[in-house]
Amino acid sequence: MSRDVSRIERWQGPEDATAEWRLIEQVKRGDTDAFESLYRAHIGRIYALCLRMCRDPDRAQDLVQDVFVRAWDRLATFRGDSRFGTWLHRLAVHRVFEDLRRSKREAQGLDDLGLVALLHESQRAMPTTNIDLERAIAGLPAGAREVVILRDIEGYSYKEIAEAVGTSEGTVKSQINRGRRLLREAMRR
Amino acid sequence: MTQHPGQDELTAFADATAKDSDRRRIERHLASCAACREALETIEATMQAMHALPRTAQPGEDLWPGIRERLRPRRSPREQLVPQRALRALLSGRSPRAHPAWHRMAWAAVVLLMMLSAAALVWKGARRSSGTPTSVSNERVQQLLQGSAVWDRLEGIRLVAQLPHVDQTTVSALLETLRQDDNNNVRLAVVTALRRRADDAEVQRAVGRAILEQQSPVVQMEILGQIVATRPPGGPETLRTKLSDDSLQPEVRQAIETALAELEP
Repeated sequence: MSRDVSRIERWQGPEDATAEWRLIEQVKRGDTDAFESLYRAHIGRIYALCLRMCRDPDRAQDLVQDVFVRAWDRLATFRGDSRFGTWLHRLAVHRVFEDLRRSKREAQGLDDLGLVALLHESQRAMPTTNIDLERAIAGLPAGAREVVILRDIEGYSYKEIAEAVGTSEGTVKSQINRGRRLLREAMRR
Repeated sequence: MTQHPGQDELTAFADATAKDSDRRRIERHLASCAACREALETIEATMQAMHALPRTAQPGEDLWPGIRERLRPRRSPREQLVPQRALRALLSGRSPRAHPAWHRMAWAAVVLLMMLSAAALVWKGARRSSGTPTSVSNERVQQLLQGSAVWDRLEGIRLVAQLPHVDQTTVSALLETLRQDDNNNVRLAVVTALRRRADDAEVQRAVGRAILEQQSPVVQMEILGQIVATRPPGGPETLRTKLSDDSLQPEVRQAIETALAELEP
C-alpha cells in the first residue's frame, strides 16, 4: 500500500484559495465577519482533531476556542507559505499538546464514564465514523495515541510530529509502531 | 526462505517508510511467505480503516459567539506595546483567560512589594554611599556589583547612569548580574540600566538571551519589553525558545506570542 503523505495538504478548507486569501487580508485588517467565515470553513477539522486528541468533548470545545482566538492574534505571522487550513491545523496541534502536557486527566487515563461521553459525542459529531476503531484509539496509552492520530488520520510526517511533540523522529516512530500494534490487538478482541 | 520480518518492519513497509534495502528484503520474503503476507494484510487493513475515519466533526453548539467575545480589536502598531499591555492584563485580569480575583490581587501585591522593596533598597544604598563619597568610575561600579549586599549591587547599577563612559567590563559585569543574580530587583535594575546601550546590538542580544534564564514573570516581561523596543538580532528565535518553557505564566506566554507576531510581521 502506498502511503499518501500529502494527505494533510489535500484537505484545505474552502476550495477557492483566492477567496480565502481575500478573507485573510480582511481579517488582518480586523474584520470579524471575515474571520467568522474562516471559522465556519475550518471548525470541523479542528474540532475533530481536538476531540480525538483530548478525548473530552467539553475540553475539546475550549481548545477549539483557544485555537481560533490564537489564530486571530497571530494572523499577522501567516505569510501564505502553506494554505491557511494547514497553518491553522498546526496551530491546533500545538495548542493540544500544550494542554496535554499540563493535564492531570491525561496522566490518569480515561474512566468508563469519560469513554461513554466521548463515544457518544464521536457518534453525534461524526455519524459515519467506525465507532469500534474510535474506541480502540481512545484506549491507546498517552504518547502513542496522539502520534498515531497525527500520522494515520491526519497524515503528518514523522518529522512534523517530532517537532510538534518536541522529541526525536526515532521516538515518534517507535511510539507509532507501539500504538499501531495495540490498535490491531484491540480490534482483534 | 529468509528470516521473517518483525511487525514493526512490516508496519514500516506498509507505511512506505522502510529503507530501500529493507523494502527489497521484505518484498523478497513476502513472495514466498504466506504468513507474513497475511500479517501485512492485517496491518494494511487497520491503516486503511484509520485513513477512512472522518476528519471533520461538528461541535454540538455554535462556538463562534464565545470566540467572537474573546477577539481583541486590532490596534495600530504604536498601541501594541506588548509588555505594557500584557502587564496591564496581568494586573487587571483582562487577559483572555481571566484569573480569579484573589489571583490578580496576589499578582498586584507581589509587583507592589517588589517596587517598594526596590525603592527602599536604592534609598538605603544611596544613604550608605552618601556617607562615604566615592568618585564614580567603572571600577567602582564593578566592585559594587560584586558586593554580597543587595543594596550594594543596586547602588552599583544606579551609578551606571552617572558614568561618562560605560566600558566593556562594566557591561559584561551587568550582563553577568542579569543572568546570575538571585534578586529580582537587581535583575530588573540591570535591564533598565542597559537601556543606555540600546544602540549596541550585541548588548541587546545578550539582554534578550537572558530571558531564557529568568523564572520571575516580572523580569521576563521587562526583558520582553526591551526586546520589542530594541529588536536585537536573534530576538524572535530567543522568544520561540522561551515558549518551550513549561513553567511560563499564561500571561507571559501570551505576551511573548503577541510580541512574536509584531517582530515577525
